[in-house]
Amino acid sequence: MIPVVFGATLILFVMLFALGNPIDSIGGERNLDRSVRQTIIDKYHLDDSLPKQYISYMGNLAKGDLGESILQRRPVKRILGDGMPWSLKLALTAIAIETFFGIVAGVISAVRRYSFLDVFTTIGTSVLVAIPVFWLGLMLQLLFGVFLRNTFIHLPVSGVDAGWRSFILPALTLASVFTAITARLTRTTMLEVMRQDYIRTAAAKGLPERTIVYKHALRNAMIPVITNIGLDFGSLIGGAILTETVFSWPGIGRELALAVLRKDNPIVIGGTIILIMAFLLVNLLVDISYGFLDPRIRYD
Amino acid sequence: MAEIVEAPVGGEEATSAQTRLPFESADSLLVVRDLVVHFHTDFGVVKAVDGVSYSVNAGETLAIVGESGSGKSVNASAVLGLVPPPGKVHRGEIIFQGQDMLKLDDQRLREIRGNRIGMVFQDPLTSLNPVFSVGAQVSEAVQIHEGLARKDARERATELLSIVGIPRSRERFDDYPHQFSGGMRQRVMIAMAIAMKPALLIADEPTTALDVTVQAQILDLLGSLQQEFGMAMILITHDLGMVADQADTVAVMYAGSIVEYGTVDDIYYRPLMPYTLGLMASVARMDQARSGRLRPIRGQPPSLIFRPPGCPFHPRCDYAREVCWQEQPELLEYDQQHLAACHFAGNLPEPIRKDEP
Ligand SMILES: Nc1ncnc2c1ncn2[C@@H]1O[C@H](COP(=O)(O)OP(=O)(O)OP(=O)(O)O)[C@@H](O)[C@H]1O
Ligand SMILES: [Mg+2]
Repeated sequence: MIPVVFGATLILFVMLFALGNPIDSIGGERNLDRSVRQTIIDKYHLDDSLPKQYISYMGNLAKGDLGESILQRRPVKRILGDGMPWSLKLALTAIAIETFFGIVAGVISAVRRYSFLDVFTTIGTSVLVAIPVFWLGLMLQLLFGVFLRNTFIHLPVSGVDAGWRSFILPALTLASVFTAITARLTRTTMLEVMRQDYIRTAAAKGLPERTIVYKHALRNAMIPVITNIGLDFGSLIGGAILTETVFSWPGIGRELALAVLRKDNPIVIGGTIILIMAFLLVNLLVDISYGFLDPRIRYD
Repeated sequence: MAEIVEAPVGGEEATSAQTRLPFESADSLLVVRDLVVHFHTDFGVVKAVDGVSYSVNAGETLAIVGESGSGKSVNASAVLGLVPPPGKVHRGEIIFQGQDMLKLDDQRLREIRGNRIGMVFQDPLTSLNPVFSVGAQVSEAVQIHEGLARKDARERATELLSIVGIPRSRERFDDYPHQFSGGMRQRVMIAMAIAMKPALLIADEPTTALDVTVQAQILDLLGSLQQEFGMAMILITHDLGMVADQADTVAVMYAGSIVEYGTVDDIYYRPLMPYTLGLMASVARMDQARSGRLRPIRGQPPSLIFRPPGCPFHPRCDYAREVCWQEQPELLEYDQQHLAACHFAGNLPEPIRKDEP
């Protein structure tokens, strides 16, 4: 985990350095006063060489200090800390949607192969995978926020002020691609598992169809599916950047997107480090949970 | 040559439900008549089982012998109504204890599967569910039919595991299939299959996937369980030598049909059909000093989509004459209870092709 963080920060540093001095974006259109400019440069060590900046940043990082935002004048840790719960809640809601609808649709598709529902799911998932997330977000906003605004099913299209209703559109948007992928993976895996010899054994015992499908087959099919959902959680955090921006969601993703535009480098680096750590942590948890799902790789 | 009697097997005519099969009696547990199973695939219709008829008496063993792809497994799964898609039973009768299995609804079929007919499959490595403990899988076999409480089922399953020779069965109850060797897994499969003391046990090449040393042990186990429970058994194999002392009757399958059918002694010592002769030459015989090399049957089994015209074996047969590729021989009774599908059964001409040195 540590080497990954080292490597990632180094790459970020080099890229941000190449983009030039962030000082110009601070004043916006106006030119800054010479002395003010110099003060800021001194404060943030903006004229130091790349290795020097990197080493001092890593030194602070080791102490748990992510530095201070150039524009917001607040510690990066505080800014990201404020966004974190919102990002987590959104990601968890999306995971719940992905897990439930993805698996249900996939199982129905597999069990009722070539039925109307299967065809519907196949077409639906192709469409969901193909359309860009931000476009889907905008269309949902248009539909539920504008066209349906005078009906009882209108939904909030930005911010988090409307309680659970605020979650619906962002979470659906964020979950869309992942739900589609999970549905397809579930369908394929179920069909694959249903062909296995042990399914025939279960049938030869005299078990009813539903026990065979929902106990013997599903339990096996869930191994790759759950693993994949776990790994999606990492990608979801990344995917949140677009969704949070479209829905003005006060999470880390939107903060990061804004910081990139404004060249607020401390937030960009700090935010990326947090995302990477979250990603790695989730992968670790997925690895550990393997053992619970699959007795063949239980460590004991 | 013995009088030739028309047997009710094969041919184009519809099922002759009233005619007796050679080994059929009032005692017959299972009577299969003119069973046809087709697989509709993209390449054409695979005639995996093409009109087979046989019977199994209570407590007796029928060995079904044949090369890979001759339709043995498909035939066996048809008995339990478990032909995998896209397979379909096209016609025929499967009378088990007086009921036609093909006419039973799903509920009734399930009451028979695993209860009155047990089945052991070819590959023990893939036939157990990897995510459930072996104990749970055996318990399930008991629970489903007896509705036992979980604790009683566990007790019964432990007992079954020790009956089939799993050492320390109580401790190993919660172990998973991957923690067992191939032979032990096959024992677990057998424990599940005999859990309900079935009247019929179908064992589909129960030893093919196992080490030679373990093969005999598994066959011994099946034999002693059969004695103990008085089960009838269908023992599928491609090595007649292995099962000769357990079988009462033998059906030889070739390309989806039975080509020779008789008592084990007749098939073993007095084979009528060149394919059976070839099978005998290709396996080590336990009762004879090895005379010369084992000779595999030359050539490949035929396509089940485009069967050769005439006798399906003629392209590989050393004795084939013109009639063999023009007319399909019927399975006829040449001797008392000894049937063969060969134009020259019991009266083979000189071989045309010399055996390879
Ligand atoms: N699922 C399937 N789809 C299409 N064809 C099939 C299927 N299962 C079996 N068959 C066909 O049926 C034929 C008979 O297969 P079967 O498994 O009964 O052979 P077998 O005698 O048991 O051979 P083996 O000794 O290898 O087990 C095969 O040649 C195969 O082409
Ligand atoms: Mg087979």
